[in-house]
Amino acid sequence: MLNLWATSQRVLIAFGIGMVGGVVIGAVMGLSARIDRLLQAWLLAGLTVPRIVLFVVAYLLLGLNDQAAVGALIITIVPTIVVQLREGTRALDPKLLEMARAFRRPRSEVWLRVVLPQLMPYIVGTARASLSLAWKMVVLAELLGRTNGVGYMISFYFQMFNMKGVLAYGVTMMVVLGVIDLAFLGTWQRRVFRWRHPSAGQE
Amino acid sequence: MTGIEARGVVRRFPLEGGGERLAVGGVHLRVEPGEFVVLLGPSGCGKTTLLKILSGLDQPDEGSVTLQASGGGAPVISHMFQEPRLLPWLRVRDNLAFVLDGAGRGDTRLLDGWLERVGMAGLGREYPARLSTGMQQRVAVARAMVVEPDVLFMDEPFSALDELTAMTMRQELLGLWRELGCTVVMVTHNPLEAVQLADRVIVMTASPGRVRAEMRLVDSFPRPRDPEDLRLWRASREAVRHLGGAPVLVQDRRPANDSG
Repeated sequence: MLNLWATSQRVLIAFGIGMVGGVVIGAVMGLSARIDRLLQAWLLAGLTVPRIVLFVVAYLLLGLNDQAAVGALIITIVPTIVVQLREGTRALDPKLLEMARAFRRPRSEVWLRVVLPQLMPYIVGTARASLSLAWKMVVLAELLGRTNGVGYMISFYFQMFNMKGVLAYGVTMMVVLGVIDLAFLGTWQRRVFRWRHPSAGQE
Repeated sequence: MTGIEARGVVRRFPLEGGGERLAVGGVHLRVEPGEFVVLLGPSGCGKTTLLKILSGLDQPDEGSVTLQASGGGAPVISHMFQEPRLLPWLRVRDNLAFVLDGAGRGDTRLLDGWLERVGMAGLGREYPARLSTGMQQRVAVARAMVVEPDVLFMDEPFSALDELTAMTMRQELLGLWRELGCTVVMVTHNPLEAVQLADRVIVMTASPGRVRAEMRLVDSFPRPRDPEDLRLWRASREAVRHLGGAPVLVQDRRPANDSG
Protein backbone atom coordinates (compact mmCIF):
# COMPACT_ATOMS: atom_id res chain seq x y z
CA MET A 1 0.00 0.00 0.00
CA LEU A 2 2.80 2.41 0.92
CA ASN A 3 4.60 1.47 -2.25
CA LEU A 4 1.50 2.16 -4.29
CA TRP A 5 1.15 5.59 -2.66
CA ALA A 6 4.81 6.45 -3.39
CA THR A 7 4.32 5.52 -7.00
CA SER A 8 1.06 7.46 -7.33
CA GLN A 9 2.67 10.55 -5.82
CA ARG A 10 5.43 10.50 -8.41
CA VAL A 11 2.95 10.12 -11.23
CA LEU A 12 0.59 12.83 -10.00
CA ILE A 13 3.34 15.39 -9.48
CA ALA A 14 4.86 14.66 -12.89
CA PHE A 15 1.42 14.66 -14.51
CA GLY A 16 0.44 17.98 -12.95
CA ILE A 17 3.64 19.79 -13.88
CA GLY A 18 3.78 18.12 -17.28
CA MET A 19 0.20 19.07 -18.18
CA VAL A 20 0.59 22.73 -17.22
CA GLY A 21 3.96 23.02 -18.95
CA GLY A 22 2.87 21.07 -22.02
CA VAL A 23 -0.37 23.01 -22.47
CA VAL A 24 1.38 26.36 -22.21
CA ILE A 25 4.27 25.41 -24.50
CA GLY A 26 1.91 23.79 -27.00
CA ALA A 27 -0.43 26.79 -27.10
CA VAL A 28 2.48 29.20 -27.54
CA MET A 29 3.95 27.05 -30.33
CA GLY A 30 0.58 26.97 -32.05
CA LEU A 31 0.21 30.73 -31.88
CA SER A 32 3.73 31.84 -32.78
CA ALA A 33 5.50 30.51 -35.87
CA ARG A 34 8.81 31.82 -34.55
CA ILE A 35 8.69 30.01 -31.25
CA ASP A 36 7.44 26.96 -33.12
CA ARG A 37 10.58 26.94 -35.32
CA LEU A 38 12.76 27.59 -32.27
CA LEU A 39 11.43 24.61 -30.31
CA GLN A 40 10.81 22.23 -33.21
CA ALA A 41 14.12 20.39 -32.87
CA TRP A 42 13.67 20.01 -29.11
CA LEU A 43 10.20 18.68 -29.62
CA LEU A 44 11.43 16.09 -32.07
CA ALA A 45 14.22 15.08 -29.73
CA GLY A 46 11.74 14.78 -26.87
CA LEU A 47 9.45 12.61 -28.93
CA THR A 48 12.13 10.25 -30.21
CA VAL A 49 14.52 9.78 -27.31
CA PRO A 50 14.24 6.26 -25.90
CA ARG A 51 12.59 6.55 -22.49
CA ILE A 52 15.06 4.21 -20.84
CA VAL A 53 17.94 6.49 -21.90
CA LEU A 54 16.06 9.40 -20.40
CA PHE A 55 15.74 7.71 -17.02
CA VAL A 56 19.34 6.49 -16.94
CA VAL A 57 20.71 9.91 -17.89
CA ALA A 58 18.49 11.62 -15.30
CA TYR A 59 19.77 9.27 -12.56
CA LEU A 60 23.36 9.78 -13.70
CA LEU A 61 23.01 13.57 -13.68
CA LEU A 62 20.87 14.11 -10.58
CA GLY A 63 21.64 11.00 -8.57
CA LEU A 64 19.33 8.19 -7.57
CA ASN A 65 16.58 10.37 -6.16
CA ASP A 66 12.97 11.38 -6.67
CA GLN A 67 13.79 14.63 -8.48
CA ALA A 68 15.51 12.62 -11.19
CA ALA A 69 12.62 10.16 -11.50
CA VAL A 70 9.92 12.80 -11.60
CA GLY A 71 11.96 15.07 -13.89
CA ALA A 72 12.49 12.29 -16.40
CA LEU A 73 8.82 11.40 -16.15
CA ILE A 74 7.86 14.99 -17.00
CA ILE A 75 10.13 15.00 -20.02
CA THR A 76 8.52 11.73 -21.06
CA ILE A 77 5.00 13.09 -21.23
CA VAL A 78 5.49 16.75 -22.19
CA PRO A 79 6.27 16.30 -25.90
CA THR A 80 3.04 14.43 -26.66
CA ILE A 81 1.02 17.04 -24.78
CA VAL A 82 2.79 19.79 -26.70
CA VAL A 83 2.02 18.16 -30.06
CA GLN A 84 -1.69 17.82 -29.21
CA LEU A 85 -2.06 21.36 -27.94
CA ARG A 86 -0.15 22.82 -30.86
CA GLU A 87 -2.56 21.18 -33.27
CA GLY A 88 -5.50 22.33 -31.15
CA THR A 89 -4.34 25.92 -31.16
CA ARG A 90 -3.88 25.88 -34.91
CA ALA A 91 -7.40 24.56 -35.34
CA LEU A 92 -9.01 27.48 -33.47
CA ASP A 93 -12.00 28.83 -35.37
CA PRO A 94 -11.03 32.27 -36.76
CA LYS A 95 -14.70 33.16 -37.20
CA LEU A 96 -15.46 32.90 -33.50
CA LEU A 97 -12.31 34.86 -32.67
CA GLU A 98 -13.41 37.56 -35.11
CA MET A 99 -16.84 37.63 -33.50
CA ALA A 100 -15.28 38.19 -30.09
CA ARG A 101 -13.10 40.94 -31.54
CA ALA A 102 -16.10 42.54 -33.26
CA PHE A 103 -17.87 42.83 -29.92
CA ARG A 104 -14.72 44.32 -28.36
CA ARG A 105 -14.33 41.55 -25.79
CA PRO A 106 -11.40 41.88 -23.38
CA ARG A 107 -8.52 39.48 -23.81
CA SER A 108 -9.15 37.50 -20.63
CA GLU A 109 -12.73 36.91 -21.74
CA VAL A 110 -11.59 35.71 -25.17
CA TRP A 111 -9.21 33.20 -23.60
CA LEU A 112 -11.70 31.92 -21.08
CA ARG A 113 -14.84 31.71 -23.21
CA VAL A 114 -13.60 31.35 -26.78
CA VAL A 115 -10.11 29.80 -26.85
CA LEU A 116 -10.12 27.47 -23.85
CA PRO A 117 -13.39 25.67 -24.71
CA GLN A 118 -11.98 24.96 -28.17
CA LEU A 119 -8.77 23.55 -26.67
CA MET A 120 -10.65 21.43 -24.13
CA PRO A 121 -11.04 18.34 -26.36
CA TYR A 122 -7.29 18.33 -26.92
CA ILE A 123 -6.51 18.91 -23.25
CA VAL A 124 -8.81 16.15 -22.02
CA GLY A 125 -7.65 13.74 -24.71
CA THR A 126 -4.00 14.31 -24.02
CA ALA A 127 -4.60 14.17 -20.25
CA ARG A 128 -5.95 10.64 -20.52
CA ALA A 129 -3.13 9.55 -22.82
CA SER A 130 -0.30 11.10 -20.84
CA LEU A 131 -1.57 9.96 -17.47
CA SER A 132 -1.56 6.37 -18.65
CA LEU A 133 1.87 6.88 -20.24
CA ALA A 134 3.28 8.31 -17.00
CA TRP A 135 1.65 5.47 -15.05
CA LYS A 136 3.46 2.89 -17.17
CA MET A 137 6.81 4.66 -17.28
CA VAL A 138 7.02 5.32 -13.55
CA VAL A 139 7.35 1.61 -12.89
CA LEU A 140 10.36 1.52 -15.16
CA ALA A 141 11.88 4.53 -13.41
CA GLU A 142 11.42 2.89 -10.02
CA LEU A 143 12.79 -0.40 -11.21
CA LEU A 144 15.96 1.33 -12.35
CA GLY A 145 16.77 3.53 -9.43
CA ARG A 146 14.37 3.86 -6.53
CA THR A 147 14.12 1.93 -3.29
CA ASN A 148 10.36 1.99 -2.95
CA GLY A 149 7.31 2.10 -5.16
CA VAL A 150 5.61 -0.47 -7.31
CA GLY A 151 8.49 -0.70 -9.81
CA TYR A 152 10.92 -1.46 -7.01
CA MET A 153 8.64 -4.16 -5.62
CA ILE A 154 8.29 -5.74 -9.03
CA SER A 155 12.05 -5.90 -9.46
CA PHE A 156 12.30 -7.27 -5.91
CA TYR A 157 9.85 -10.09 -6.60
CA PHE A 158 11.50 -10.67 -9.98
CA GLN A 159 14.79 -11.34 -8.23
CA MET A 160 12.98 -13.78 -5.97
CA PHE A 161 11.43 -15.30 -9.08
CA ASN A 162 8.05 -14.76 -7.44
CA MET A 163 5.42 -14.61 -10.16
CA LYS A 164 2.55 -14.01 -7.70
CA GLY A 165 4.20 -10.91 -6.26
CA VAL A 166 4.97 -9.45 -9.69
CA LEU A 167 1.45 -10.00 -10.95
CA ALA A 168 -0.13 -8.73 -7.75
CA TYR A 169 1.55 -5.38 -8.15
CA GLY A 170 1.10 -5.30 -11.91
CA VAL A 171 -2.62 -5.97 -11.79
CA THR A 172 -3.12 -3.51 -8.92
CA MET A 173 -1.50 -0.81 -11.02
CA MET A 174 -3.86 -1.56 -13.90
CA VAL A 175 -6.93 -1.49 -11.71
CA VAL A 176 -6.00 1.74 -9.94
CA LEU A 177 -5.37 3.59 -13.20
CA GLY A 178 -8.54 2.17 -14.69
CA VAL A 179 -10.57 3.50 -11.78
CA ILE A 180 -8.91 6.92 -11.91
CA ASP A 181 -9.44 7.16 -15.65
CA LEU A 182 -13.08 6.15 -15.64
CA ALA A 183 -14.13 7.87 -12.44
CA PHE A 184 -12.33 11.18 -12.82
CA LEU A 185 -11.17 11.81 -16.37
CA GLY A 186 -14.15 10.15 -18.00
CA THR A 187 -16.64 12.12 -15.90
CA TRP A 188 -14.71 15.28 -16.54
CA GLN A 189 -14.80 14.63 -20.27
CA ARG A 190 -18.57 14.11 -20.22
CA ARG A 191 -19.13 17.26 -18.21
CA VAL A 192 -16.94 19.36 -20.49
CA PHE A 193 -18.69 18.15 -23.63
CA ARG A 194 -22.25 18.29 -22.46
CA TRP A 195 -23.01 21.03 -24.99
CA ARG A 196 -22.25 18.63 -27.83
CA HIS A 197 -25.10 16.31 -26.90
CA PRO A 198 -27.43 18.69 -25.17
CA SER A 199 -30.48 16.43 -25.33
CA ALA A 200 -28.88 14.02 -22.89
CA GLY A 201 -27.95 16.66 -20.33
CA GLN A 202 -31.14 18.61 -19.79
CA GLU A 203 -31.42 20.27 -16.44
CA MET B 1 -26.33 58.88 -33.05
CA THR B 2 -23.19 58.07 -34.91
CA GLY B 3 -22.16 58.85 -38.46
CA ILE B 4 -19.36 57.25 -40.45
CA GLU B 5 -17.00 58.92 -42.84
CA ALA B 6 -14.60 56.94 -45.06
CA ARG B 7 -12.06 58.81 -47.19
CA GLY B 8 -10.13 57.21 -50.01
CA VAL B 9 -10.12 53.74 -48.47
CA VAL B 10 -7.72 51.36 -50.25
CA ARG B 11 -7.06 47.75 -49.24
CA ARG B 12 -4.63 45.38 -50.97
CA PHE B 13 -4.03 41.72 -50.30
CA PRO B 14 -0.74 40.05 -51.22
CA LEU B 15 -1.12 37.22 -53.72
CA GLU B 16 0.45 33.80 -53.44
CA GLY B 17 3.68 33.97 -55.45
CA GLY B 18 4.13 37.74 -55.38
CA GLY B 19 2.08 40.66 -56.52
CA GLU B 20 -1.06 41.91 -54.88
CA ARG B 21 -4.77 42.16 -55.44
CA LEU B 22 -6.59 45.44 -55.05
CA ALA B 23 -9.67 44.49 -53.02
CA VAL B 24 -10.96 47.97 -52.32
CA GLY B 25 -9.81 50.68 -54.72
CA GLY B 26 -10.36 54.08 -53.20
CA VAL B 27 -13.81 54.34 -51.66
CA HIS B 28 -15.31 57.56 -50.35
CA LEU B 29 -18.40 57.05 -48.26
CA ARG B 30 -20.48 59.05 -45.81
CA VAL B 31 -23.11 57.43 -43.64
CA GLU B 32 -25.40 59.84 -41.84
CA PRO B 33 -26.34 59.23 -38.20
CA GLY B 34 -29.32 56.90 -38.00
CA GLU B 35 -29.14 56.03 -41.69
CA PHE B 36 -29.67 52.50 -43.07
CA VAL B 37 -27.08 52.01 -45.81
CA VAL B 38 -26.76 48.85 -47.88
CA LEU B 39 -23.63 47.95 -49.82
CA LEU B 40 -24.75 45.92 -52.82
CA GLY B 41 -22.38 44.06 -55.07
CA PRO B 42 -21.47 40.69 -56.59
CA SER B 43 -19.40 38.14 -54.69
CA GLY B 44 -15.78 39.13 -54.37
CA CYS B 45 -16.31 42.84 -55.00
CA GLY B 46 -14.66 43.76 -51.73
CA LYS B 47 -17.84 44.77 -49.95
CA THR B 48 -17.14 42.54 -46.95
CA THR B 49 -13.59 43.88 -46.81
CA LEU B 50 -14.96 47.42 -46.89
CA LEU B 51 -17.42 46.58 -44.12
CA LYS B 52 -14.63 45.18 -41.96
CA ILE B 53 -12.62 48.34 -42.50
CA LEU B 54 -15.59 50.53 -41.59
CA SER B 55 -16.18 48.52 -38.42
CA GLY B 56 -12.52 48.55 -37.42
CA LEU B 57 -11.99 44.78 -37.79
CA ASP B 58 -9.51 45.50 -40.59
CA GLN B 59 -7.20 48.41 -41.33
CA PRO B 60 -7.06 50.24 -44.68
CA ASP B 61 -3.73 50.46 -46.50
CA GLU B 62 -4.58 54.01 -47.51
CA GLY B 63 -7.28 56.42 -46.48
CA SER B 64 -9.12 56.76 -43.23
CA VAL B 65 -12.35 55.90 -41.46
CA THR B 66 -13.89 58.02 -38.73
CA LEU B 67 -16.87 57.24 -36.57
CA GLN B 68 -18.39 60.48 -35.37
CA ALA B 69 -20.43 60.10 -32.23
CA SER B 70 -22.62 63.11 -31.66
CA GLY B 71 -22.86 62.63 -27.91
CA GLY B 72 -19.11 62.23 -27.40
CA GLY B 73 -17.48 59.06 -26.09
CA ALA B 74 -16.80 55.91 -28.07
CA PRO B 75 -19.80 54.63 -30.04
CA VAL B 76 -21.10 51.16 -29.23
CA ILE B 77 -20.58 48.87 -32.21
CA SER B 78 -22.41 45.67 -32.94
CA HIS B 79 -22.23 42.96 -35.57
CA MET B 80 -24.13 40.30 -37.43
CA PHE B 81 -22.40 37.81 -39.65
CA GLN B 82 -23.53 35.51 -42.42
CA GLU B 83 -23.41 32.64 -39.95
CA PRO B 84 -24.83 32.96 -36.44
CA ARG B 85 -21.37 32.51 -34.86
CA LEU B 86 -22.75 31.61 -31.46
CA LEU B 87 -20.43 29.99 -28.94
CA PRO B 88 -21.71 26.39 -28.96
CA TRP B 89 -20.54 25.67 -25.40
CA LEU B 90 -22.64 28.48 -23.94
CA ARG B 91 -26.40 28.37 -23.48
CA VAL B 92 -28.42 30.80 -25.58
CA ARG B 93 -28.81 33.25 -22.71
CA ASP B 94 -25.09 33.11 -21.90
CA ASN B 95 -24.33 33.85 -25.53
CA LEU B 96 -26.13 37.17 -25.09
CA ALA B 97 -24.44 37.80 -21.77
CA PHE B 98 -21.06 37.17 -23.40
CA VAL B 99 -21.20 40.46 -25.35
CA LEU B 100 -22.24 42.51 -22.33
CA ASP B 101 -20.04 44.06 -19.69
CA GLY B 102 -20.53 43.73 -15.96
CA ALA B 103 -23.99 44.74 -14.81
CA GLY B 104 -26.13 43.55 -17.73
CA ARG B 105 -24.71 40.04 -17.50
CA GLY B 106 -26.74 38.79 -14.61
CA ASP B 107 -29.86 40.67 -15.71
CA THR B 108 -31.91 37.67 -16.73
CA ARG B 109 -34.96 39.80 -17.39
CA LEU B 110 -33.07 41.95 -19.91
CA LEU B 111 -31.63 38.91 -21.70
CA ASP B 112 -34.91 37.00 -21.78
CA GLY B 113 -36.69 40.15 -22.88
CA TRP B 114 -34.51 40.36 -25.96
CA LEU B 115 -34.97 36.67 -26.68
CA GLU B 116 -38.70 37.17 -26.50
CA ARG B 117 -38.56 40.06 -28.98
CA VAL B 118 -36.83 37.90 -31.58
CA GLY B 119 -39.36 35.10 -31.06
CA MET B 120 -37.13 32.92 -28.91
CA ALA B 121 -39.05 33.16 -25.64
CA GLY B 122 -38.31 30.37 -23.18
CA LEU B 123 -35.31 29.04 -25.09
CA GLY B 124 -32.63 30.82 -23.04
CA ARG B 125 -31.40 27.64 -21.40
CA GLU B 126 -30.93 25.67 -24.61
CA TYR B 127 -27.57 25.02 -26.22
CA PRO B 128 -27.23 26.38 -29.78
CA ALA B 129 -26.81 22.84 -31.14
CA ARG B 130 -30.49 22.22 -30.39
CA LEU B 131 -31.64 25.12 -32.56
CA SER B 132 -32.09 25.38 -36.33
CA THR B 133 -29.91 27.81 -38.30
CA GLY B 134 -32.82 30.22 -38.53
CA MET B 135 -33.35 30.17 -34.78
CA GLN B 136 -29.63 30.58 -34.18
CA GLN B 137 -29.62 33.61 -36.46
CA ARG B 138 -32.49 35.04 -34.41
CA VAL B 139 -30.32 34.65 -31.33
CA ALA B 140 -27.60 36.48 -33.26
CA VAL B 141 -30.06 39.33 -33.88
CA ALA B 142 -30.79 39.49 -30.16
CA ARG B 143 -27.07 39.41 -29.42
CA ALA B 144 -26.47 42.29 -31.83
CA MET B 145 -29.25 44.36 -30.25
CA VAL B 146 -28.69 43.61 -26.57
CA VAL B 147 -25.65 45.92 -26.47
CA GLU B 148 -27.91 48.77 -27.68
CA PRO B 149 -25.58 49.69 -30.51
CA ASP B 150 -24.96 53.10 -32.01
CA VAL B 151 -23.78 51.41 -35.19
CA LEU B 152 -24.74 47.96 -36.42
CA PHE B 153 -22.65 46.26 -39.10
CA MET B 154 -24.22 43.33 -40.93
CA ASP B 155 -22.51 41.03 -43.42
CA GLU B 156 -25.17 39.22 -45.46
CA PRO B 157 -27.07 38.26 -42.31
CA PHE B 158 -29.96 36.57 -44.10
CA SER B 159 -28.28 34.98 -47.12
CA ALA B 160 -27.85 31.60 -45.44
CA LEU B 161 -31.55 31.39 -44.51
CA ASP B 162 -34.48 30.15 -46.54
CA GLU B 163 -36.42 32.96 -48.21
CA LEU B 164 -39.50 32.60 -46.02
CA THR B 165 -37.52 32.97 -42.81
CA ALA B 166 -35.44 35.76 -44.32
CA MET B 167 -38.59 37.70 -45.28
CA THR B 168 -39.94 37.66 -41.73
CA MET B 169 -36.60 38.49 -40.21
CA ARG B 170 -36.10 41.49 -42.51
CA GLN B 171 -39.38 42.98 -41.28
CA GLU B 172 -38.44 42.25 -37.66
CA LEU B 173 -35.05 43.84 -38.18
CA LEU B 174 -36.66 47.01 -39.55
CA GLY B 175 -38.91 47.16 -36.48
CA LEU B 176 -35.96 46.87 -34.09
CA TRP B 177 -33.93 49.37 -36.11
CA ARG B 178 -36.71 51.98 -35.91
CA GLU B 179 -36.96 51.40 -32.19
CA LEU B 180 -33.25 51.68 -31.43
CA GLY B 181 -32.53 54.35 -34.03
CA CYS B 182 -29.02 53.08 -34.68
CA THR B 183 -26.94 53.60 -37.80
CA VAL B 184 -26.83 50.46 -39.96
CA VAL B 185 -24.37 49.40 -42.62
CA MET B 186 -25.34 46.14 -44.28
CA VAL B 187 -23.70 44.12 -47.03
CA THR B 188 -25.73 41.99 -49.41
CA HIS B 189 -25.70 40.54 -52.91
CA ASN B 190 -29.50 40.45 -53.05
CA PRO B 191 -30.84 43.53 -54.94
CA LEU B 192 -34.41 43.10 -53.72
CA GLU B 193 -33.31 42.84 -50.14
CA ALA B 194 -31.20 45.95 -50.62
CA VAL B 195 -34.04 48.14 -51.87
CA GLN B 196 -36.49 46.78 -49.31
CA LEU B 197 -34.32 47.73 -46.38
CA ALA B 198 -32.12 50.65 -47.32
CA ASP B 199 -32.37 54.40 -47.06
CA ARG B 200 -29.56 54.40 -49.54
CA VAL B 201 -28.08 51.62 -51.67
CA ILE B 202 -24.42 51.82 -52.61
CA VAL B 203 -23.76 49.68 -55.69
CA MET B 204 -20.20 48.33 -55.88
CA THR B 205 -18.23 46.81 -58.73
CA ALA B 206 -15.76 43.99 -58.46
CA SER B 207 -11.96 43.93 -58.64
CA PRO B 208 -11.12 46.44 -57.51
CA GLY B 209 -14.09 47.21 -55.30
CA ARG B 210 -15.31 50.68 -56.12
CA VAL B 211 -18.56 52.58 -55.72
CA ARG B 212 -20.34 52.52 -59.07
CA ALA B 213 -23.62 54.12 -58.18
CA GLU B 214 -25.72 55.38 -55.32
CA MET B 215 -29.49 55.00 -55.11
CA ARG B 216 -31.29 57.22 -52.66
CA LEU B 217 -34.53 55.51 -51.74
CA VAL B 218 -35.58 57.23 -48.55
CA ASP B 219 -37.61 59.94 -50.33
CA SER B 220 -39.32 57.86 -52.99
CA PHE B 221 -40.09 54.95 -50.66
CA PRO B 222 -41.39 56.20 -47.32
CA ARG B 223 -41.52 53.71 -44.47
CA PRO B 224 -43.08 51.41 -43.63
CA ARG B 225 -42.64 49.95 -47.08
CA ASP B 226 -44.86 47.31 -48.55
CA PRO B 227 -42.63 44.39 -49.56
CA GLU B 228 -45.21 43.67 -52.29
CA ASP B 229 -44.74 47.13 -53.85
CA LEU B 230 -43.86 46.61 -57.50
CA ARG B 231 -41.92 49.86 -57.60
CA LEU B 232 -39.49 48.26 -55.18
CA TRP B 233 -39.01 45.46 -57.66
CA ARG B 234 -38.33 48.02 -60.39
CA ALA B 235 -35.82 49.76 -58.16
CA SER B 236 -34.07 46.44 -57.63
CA ARG B 237 -33.87 46.00 -61.44
CA GLU B 238 -32.28 49.38 -61.63
CA ALA B 239 -29.70 48.27 -59.06
CA VAL B 240 -29.02 45.20 -61.17
CA ARG B 241 -28.48 47.39 -64.22
CA HIS B 242 -25.92 49.34 -62.23
CA LEU B 243 -24.22 46.06 -61.43
CA GLY B 244 -24.35 44.91 -65.03
CA GLY B 245 -21.49 47.14 -66.11
CA ALA B 246 -22.20 50.48 -67.74
CA PRO B 247 -23.90 53.06 -65.53
CA VAL B 248 -27.59 53.60 -66.29
CA LEU B 249 -27.16 57.10 -67.65
CA VAL B 250 -24.79 55.88 -70.35
CA GLN B 251 -27.18 53.07 -71.26
CA ASP B 252 -30.00 55.56 -71.62
CA ARG B 253 -27.97 57.60 -74.05
CA ARG B 254 -27.03 54.68 -76.22
CA PRO B 255 -30.00 54.76 -78.63
CA ALA B 256 -29.22 58.39 -79.36
CA ASN B 257 -25.63 57.47 -80.21
CA ASP B 258 -26.81 54.66 -82.48
CA SER B 259 -29.12 56.89 -84.45
CA GLY B 260 -26.50 59.64 -84.68
